[in-house]
Amino acid sequence: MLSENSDKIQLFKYLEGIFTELEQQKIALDKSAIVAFTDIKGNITYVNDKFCEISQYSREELLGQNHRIINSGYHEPKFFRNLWKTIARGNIWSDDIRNRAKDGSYYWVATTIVPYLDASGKPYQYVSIRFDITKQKNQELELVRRSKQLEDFCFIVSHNLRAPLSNLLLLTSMIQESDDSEEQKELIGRLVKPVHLLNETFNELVESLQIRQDTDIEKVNLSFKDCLENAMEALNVAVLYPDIEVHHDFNEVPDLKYPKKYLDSIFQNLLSNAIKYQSPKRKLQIRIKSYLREGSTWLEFADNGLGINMKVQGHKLFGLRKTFHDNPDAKGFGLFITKSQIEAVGGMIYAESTQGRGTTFFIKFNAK
Amino acid sequence: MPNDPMKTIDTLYLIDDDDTYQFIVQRTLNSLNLVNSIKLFSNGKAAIDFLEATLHDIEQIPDVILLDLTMPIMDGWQFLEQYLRFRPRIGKKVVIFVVSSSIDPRDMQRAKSISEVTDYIIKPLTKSKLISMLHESLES
Repeated sequence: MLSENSDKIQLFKYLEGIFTELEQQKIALDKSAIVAFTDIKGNITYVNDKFCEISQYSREELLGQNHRIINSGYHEPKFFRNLWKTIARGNIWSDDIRNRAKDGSYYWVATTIVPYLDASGKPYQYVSIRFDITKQKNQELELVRRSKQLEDFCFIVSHNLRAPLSNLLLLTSMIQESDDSEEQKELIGRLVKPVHLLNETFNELVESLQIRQDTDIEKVNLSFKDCLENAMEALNVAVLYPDIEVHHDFNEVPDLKYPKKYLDSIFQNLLSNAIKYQSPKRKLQIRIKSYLREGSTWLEFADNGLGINMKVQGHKLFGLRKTFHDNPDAKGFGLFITKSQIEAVGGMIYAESTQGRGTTFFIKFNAK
Repeated sequence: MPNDPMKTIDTLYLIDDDDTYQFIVQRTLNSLNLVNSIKLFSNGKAAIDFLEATLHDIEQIPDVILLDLTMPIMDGWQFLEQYLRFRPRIGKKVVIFVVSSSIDPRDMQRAKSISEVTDYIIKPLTKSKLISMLHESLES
C-alpha cells in the first residue's frame, strides 16, 4: 500500500513538473509571439492577447470567426491554396503574410503554422505563431521602391544626356573628316544647339541632385508677389507671351518663410509648365492664390490649359520624363524638381486636372 | 558589301524630332549614295498621315524606316501601333529600325517583341552602323 501511494505521489510530482514547464513555455510564447489556434476549417478557437492587440479585434469578435477575417487581399489565392495544401497534409508552413487590422491598416507577420496530428497522423487543429515584422517589411518595400526609382532616374538621365551627346560625337567626327573649310564652318555652327541642350540638361540634373543635400538650407521671408514677378521676368513672359493673363490673390497670406531658391524655382516651373501645356483653343489664364488652412500655408496654382487625364498620366506628372527635342524648355526635370524641393522642406504638392479644361496644383508648404 | 553595287534603297523615312540628328543622318545618307529619296518627319503623326495618303503609290511607300521613340504629338510606339493597322494594305517589305537614346531594357524588349521591328539601335547612329543597316535592308 505504502509503496503504491509513494508511486502515485512520484507520478503526480512528475506530471506536475511537466505541466509547470508547459505552462512556462506557453507564457513565454504568449509574451513573445502572436498565437492563434484554429480548427481544420480555419475557424479560430483560441487567440492570445498579442493577437487581439495587433489585429485590434477583441477576443469575443475573433473566436468562432474564420481566419479570413484578417485577410488583407494582398496575396494571390494561390498563396493561401498552397498554405492549406501544406498544412492539411500535416506539414509545417512558414512565410510572411500581410494582414488587415480592424481599422483597415495593414500589418506584416512572419508566420509559422504547425498542424496538431491525431493518432492516425491527420491534423485536428492548427497553431499559428507569428511575429510582427511590419516595420522591417515596410522598410524593405520602401527600399525596393527607391531602387526602382533610382533605376528609372538613371535611364531617363542617360536618355536626356545621350541625345545631345550623340549629336556632338557625330558632328565632331564629321568636322574631323571634312577637308572643306566652308563645310567645316557649317558643321561647327551645328554644334551650338546640342552643346546648349547638354549644358542645360546637366544643370537641371545637378539642381535636382542638390535638393537632397541642402537640408539645412536657409529660410528667409519672401513675398509671393515678388516671387511671381521674378518668375515672370525670368521667363520673359511680358515679351514672349504677352497674351497670358495672370491673376493673383495673396491677401490672406502675403508672404512665407522659405528657401528663396526653392520658391523662385517652384513659381518658375509651375509657370513654364502652364505655358508649355496651354490650350491652342483659348487664351491662357492663370489664377494663383495663397491661403491658410489648419495652420499651414497653401498655394493654389490653376490654369485653363490642355489638362491631363489623371487616371492615365497622373502618376507621370511629377516624374522625370524623356524629353522631346523641339521643345527647348522641356528637359524633363521641371515638376520633378518642384516636388523634390517642396518635400525636402516637409511640404507636399498634388494636382487635379480635367482633360481639355485645365490643371490646378495644390501646394502645402509646411505643417506647423 | 552589297552583292550588286548598283542596288539602292528607293525610299527611306527618317522619323525623329531632333533636327540636328536629322541633319546628320541626311548628310551621311547623301554621301553614301545608297538611298534615292529621304523623307523627313518630326513626329509619328506626320509620318503616318503621309503614309496613309500615299498607300496607293508603291513608289512612295518606304523600304526603310528609321524611327525615334520619344517624340511629341505621336511617339514611336504609337506610330508602330498605327503602322501595324496599315500593314495588310502595304504590298511591300518595309524594314523598320528603332533608333533611340534610351538604354532602358524595357524599351529594347518592347521593340524587339514587335515582329515588324528589325532591330533596336542605340544612338549615336554612326556612319558604319548606318551602312551595315542599309546593307542588311538591301539583302532582306
